[in-house]
Amino acid sequence: MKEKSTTPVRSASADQVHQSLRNLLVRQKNACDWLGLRAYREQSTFLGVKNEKFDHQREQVENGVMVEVICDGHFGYAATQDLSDAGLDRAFTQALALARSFASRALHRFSFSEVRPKAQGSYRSPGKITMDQLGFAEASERLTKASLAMKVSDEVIHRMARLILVETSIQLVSSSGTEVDQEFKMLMTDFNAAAKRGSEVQVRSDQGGLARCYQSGMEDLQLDNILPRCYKVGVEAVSLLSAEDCPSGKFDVILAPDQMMLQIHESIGHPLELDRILGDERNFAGWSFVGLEDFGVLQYGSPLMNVTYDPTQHQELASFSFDDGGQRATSEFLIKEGKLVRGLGGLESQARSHKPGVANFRSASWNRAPIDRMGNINLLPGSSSLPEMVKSIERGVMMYSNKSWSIDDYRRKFQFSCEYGEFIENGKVTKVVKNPNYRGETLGFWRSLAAVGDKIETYGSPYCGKGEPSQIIRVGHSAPHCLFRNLEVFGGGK
Amino acid sequence: MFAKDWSQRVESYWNGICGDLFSQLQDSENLSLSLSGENSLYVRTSQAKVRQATQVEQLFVAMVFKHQQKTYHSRQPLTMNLAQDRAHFQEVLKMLRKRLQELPEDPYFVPMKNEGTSHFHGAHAGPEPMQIAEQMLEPTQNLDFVGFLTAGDKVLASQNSLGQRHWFSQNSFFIDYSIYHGPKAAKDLYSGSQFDSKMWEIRLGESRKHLEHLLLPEKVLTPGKFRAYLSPHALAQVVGITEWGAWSFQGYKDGSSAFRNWYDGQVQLSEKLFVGENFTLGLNPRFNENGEVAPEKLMLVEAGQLSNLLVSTKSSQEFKVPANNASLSESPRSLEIRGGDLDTPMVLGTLDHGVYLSHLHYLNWSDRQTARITGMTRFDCFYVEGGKIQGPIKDMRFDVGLFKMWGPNLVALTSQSEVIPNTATYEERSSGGSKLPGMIVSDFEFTL
Ligand SMILES: [Zn+2]
Repeated sequence: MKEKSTTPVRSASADQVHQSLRNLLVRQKNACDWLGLRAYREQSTFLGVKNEKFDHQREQVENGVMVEVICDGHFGYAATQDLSDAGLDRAFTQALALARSFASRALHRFSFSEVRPKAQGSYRSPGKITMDQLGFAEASERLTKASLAMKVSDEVIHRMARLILVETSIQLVSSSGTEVDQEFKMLMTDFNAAAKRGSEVQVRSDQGGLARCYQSGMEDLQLDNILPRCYKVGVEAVSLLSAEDCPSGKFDVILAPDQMMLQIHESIGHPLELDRILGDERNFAGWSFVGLEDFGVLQYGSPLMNVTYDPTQHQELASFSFDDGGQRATSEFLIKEGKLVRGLGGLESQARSHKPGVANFRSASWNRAPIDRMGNINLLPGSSSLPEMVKSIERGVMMYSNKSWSIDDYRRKFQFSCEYGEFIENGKVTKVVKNPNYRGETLGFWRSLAAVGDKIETYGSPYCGKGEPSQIIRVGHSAPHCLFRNLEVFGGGK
Repeated sequence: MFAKDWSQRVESYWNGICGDLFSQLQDSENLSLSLSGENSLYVRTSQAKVRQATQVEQLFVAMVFKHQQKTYHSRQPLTMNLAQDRAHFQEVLKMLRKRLQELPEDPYFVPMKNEGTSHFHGAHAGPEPMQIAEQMLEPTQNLDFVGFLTAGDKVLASQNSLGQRHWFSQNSFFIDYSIYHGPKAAKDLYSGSQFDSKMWEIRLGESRKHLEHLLLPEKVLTPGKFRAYLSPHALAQVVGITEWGAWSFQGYKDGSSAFRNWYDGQVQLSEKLFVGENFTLGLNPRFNENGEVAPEKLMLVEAGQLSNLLVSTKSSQEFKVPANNASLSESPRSLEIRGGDLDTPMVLGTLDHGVYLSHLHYLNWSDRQTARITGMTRFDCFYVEGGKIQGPIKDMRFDVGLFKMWGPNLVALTSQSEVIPNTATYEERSSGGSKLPGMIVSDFEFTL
């Protein structure tokens, strides 16, 4: 593996880092029961244009190693940016001291062969073109045109067109013979507009804030795709200014895939995390209404509901070959025909809970220990077409693009709001409504799922938060339009 | 392992690196360097046992390179290995020059200024982080203690090629913890610069007492409006949501600030309400990520009127208004809501009949334009009748208009306030925090 000439060159190339890691293994592997090293290097470029004027550029480089040591079945972790032999040795000594000091107070004693198996392989995401290859000037030019496309009238007072390009490389080596190299390229775009009339302001975006996140490169920043989308963002922002407020009451609701993403994330993904169920997050992110006894038993939703953890999807944001514990990533059903079958837990949670899990033991960067995270959580397509679903509704609302989200620490009572709504009467969309909100309780909500669309759309988010110390992780979600019966719906206002 | 002189070692190394880089600049090039770093022990526990312990030593340099009306921003790791860092930053400087050429001109170019010098070094007096961890766990052994300890050094610094020089370092810790009984928990935060095991046992004792209220029968409320007491921690959650752009001048102009109608004078909030930035709390340095120095105190709300928003130098250029040297995100860094006249021991009696909210969870705007907030009750919230705690409530969702809660519905503010440090640890340990009183409000609406 060669370091790309386009990234700012560090004194040590990726090959040198790999060699330093192996040298440390040779020097120290007899000093502990098990030793693993994770080198993590990431370069992110942020670029934005506001109101057709250059707004911001920022680049961010992360480069460091997490040293993991097991003594008496307990892990110690130490993170360093000093990749010299001396720096790595110092981190090793710290990790060893932590593992030894806390071994007698360990929450669980792990068998390293069970939770850190030998893993060998590589992964490379499909993206090609880097920022340097396209050039800042060209990228800013395209964002400027995107901003202009949103300016459909003088009422559009604010237009932001921005992107984030992330290139990440993760190497794992361990005393059990692990050798994993994974390389990622991710392009995330965000186009949003605010329209104002009198004291009313309405915001519309391209499927929700930063929802278009994919494993791809700058080759996907194509104006023929972007400009029509941006024009639509502008038009819909203005149309919301003359829209009525979403009515209150019990209605049938169709959630578009860009809102299904958030619904899946908050009310399926988080409650199924095994470490939450085991209680690790009780002081911070929260516990879960799901118990270990529910797997294989609980009817989570209607039989139309099929949900997978799928790290194998082309271009979906959280695809990879191995998680940070070295478990090979495979696609697994979490919910099958509405029944809960599997949780989101890596090898450590599987060992603690004796329940099946998935390869989702992931860390945000070199400076954090891995924990159970979401990845790609997808709701599989059904057999209903969107026109059929609309036709089946007497009075209802179709809601697009997440605007606000909130759910309790056990993941029961949620409330979400969307950017844009369409009112449905007697099987037809009759008007645009603004500030559509809905609230409900997780199991009742998923059991009211009455139809699942036949076409999926894929989105993602770079910002899922969890953990102590806290970590931000990237997730992908794909889903079709889905119809839910009889939800509590309401609009905006004081 | 936890060298007592870590931050001093970083400081002298940092001065050397800065001098080195400034000496390589050519005519009319300007460079600002800001450092953010930590040497931290993180220990997370559950059931009074250790789940994961991590030592993190990290330093990042935010570089702002200015030349010919253009600005290039780059954040790079600093390894404290001189050979590695020298070679690396020489390459970075070359790259900055090359890439700056490709960037468009900055339409709101902020010329570099010398914003003076300052120096703060908080002396390290307490036990070493590993000892804190041991002393934290020792008295918790018969409890379902779920806690998170963060301890060690944190440094923030800024220098620029015009001679500006700021340094801020402190050694601190916090224990953010809950003690569970079934699905409910007594939750608290113990923080400071010097861990004291006796004080810790007193705090734990108070939490245990709190836990007794959780043993009373649970009260299930029906949705509706309640008189409510928000503790300083609950109010901190509300303040936290306003930090998403509500105080930002940029947000005011682009329509994303929830306080737009308030700033325009269309709403008048309670005359009891005084809010400001107050850096004398000592949680944060006054300089921001560009080394720009904010005033020691800045009133934002006086007697219910929103008189100032936070204005960065960038917004100042763009909108032609005076800057108050806010951070780039124009979020409060050291917010204080002034206390009122209600003595804390009188809270239950004054509340009389309603809900006592110790902690809230997962707040968000349910309608940003009208400053309406939704969120959940969490941990240790109680139902109160006749000025006495009757029992814990089953968690409820609320949906309230902030302009009502801080306006006609604001009944009283406690005279005692609490300093609540920012405990966020995304990417790095945060600094800053807030100083807040408790608050009694009427018509606090539960919806689910
Ligand atoms: Zn999340």
